[in-house]
Amino acid sequence: MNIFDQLAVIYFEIDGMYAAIEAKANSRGHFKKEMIYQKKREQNDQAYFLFMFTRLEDRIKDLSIKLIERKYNTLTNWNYRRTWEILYKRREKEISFLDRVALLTKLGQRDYQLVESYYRERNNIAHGGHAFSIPISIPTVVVNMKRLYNDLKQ
Amino acid sequence: MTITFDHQNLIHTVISSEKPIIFISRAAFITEDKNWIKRLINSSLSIKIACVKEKGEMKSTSDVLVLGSFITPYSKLPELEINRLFSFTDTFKMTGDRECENWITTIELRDSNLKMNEKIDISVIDKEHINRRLNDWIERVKNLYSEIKMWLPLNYLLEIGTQTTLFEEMMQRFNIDPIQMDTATIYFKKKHIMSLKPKGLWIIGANGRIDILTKKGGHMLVDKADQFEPPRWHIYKQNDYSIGKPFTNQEFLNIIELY
Repeated sequence: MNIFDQLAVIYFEIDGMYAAIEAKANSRGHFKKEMIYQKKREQNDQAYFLFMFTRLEDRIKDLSIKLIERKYNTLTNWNYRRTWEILYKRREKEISFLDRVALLTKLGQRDYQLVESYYRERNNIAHGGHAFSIPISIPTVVVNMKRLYNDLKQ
Repeated sequence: MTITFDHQNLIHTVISSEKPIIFISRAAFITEDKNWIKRLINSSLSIKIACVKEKGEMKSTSDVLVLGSFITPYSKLPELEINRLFSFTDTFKMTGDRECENWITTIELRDSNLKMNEKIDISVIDKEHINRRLNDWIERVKNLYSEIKMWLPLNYLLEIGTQTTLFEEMMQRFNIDPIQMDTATIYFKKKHIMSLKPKGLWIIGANGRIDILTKKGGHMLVDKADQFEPPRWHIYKQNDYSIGKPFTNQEFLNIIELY
């Protein structure tokens, strides 16, 4: 079982417990309690989304470093090598996340846009802006993250 | 909404009675050219919002968005993700917004050098689009409740329950007030067994989510259809989350039998 599935199992255990309490509160007309658990489920969505995104983030960083190192070590023609020499010096820390994504997927196209939208969501959650309440569908996120994790190539 | 610019049509104008807010989501370069050479597409979009009265233009605001893409044989139809919101910024208040009879939004493509068989599609989201999506969401939820009602076996009952508030980021961006969405409750011989609660419309990778809440846990209904397409509801069960299954009559019966 991969890391996304492992996280999803725990996520659904917690979500299930909260959903049960929310349902009971709803059936008994305890609307305040229902709202509290509705909010808890949203925060659980966000916490597990962040958790999953960090796994993808690590994978993207790792693949981009490997790509840069491979290009730096194999290209001999200076016309091609010069860009990689600059990136090589910055490979560990000085390249932005979305630039790393652009090294691995076509800029502006489907996978890039998907990672970018997740990155925006990650920043919204991490910085707690007004967009904090964007609902997340974890089942869809798990499928997409697993696919991206396996499809991204150096 | 998609605005198409080509070598002859470079200006798009819309008149509205309401102060416009527009969100430009993406730009796509489209060509029928088959003989590809490397080329730099370098142009800009000018976005102007003006308040007009009988006397003419009273106040306006404008912004420029630079579009640039290097076209190669490997990337023939580049799409640029823009995601920028344009709204009227009140730089001076000589004319109050209420005095404006109309608002004119002008989007102009500049310096494009488009050839005859080339065009640039700009995807724009405006308030009307957001309202259309909200109405579509309300309708889809309502239709789903009606469909479930027809699936219910004897002794089961679906009733519209308490309302839940929908006030998502896109609604806030376009100054749209919160709306109330119906939830539904399902009873078996008058005993509450589950609730259906709309969770949200703007969800990454889906066209809306409804939660099914039971005393033993929850399931999720996710609409996997594209915007304004007939819904394709999929159910993700708590104990079988990895495979979303089409939400059919049989799937629903399998769930209610558990409670």
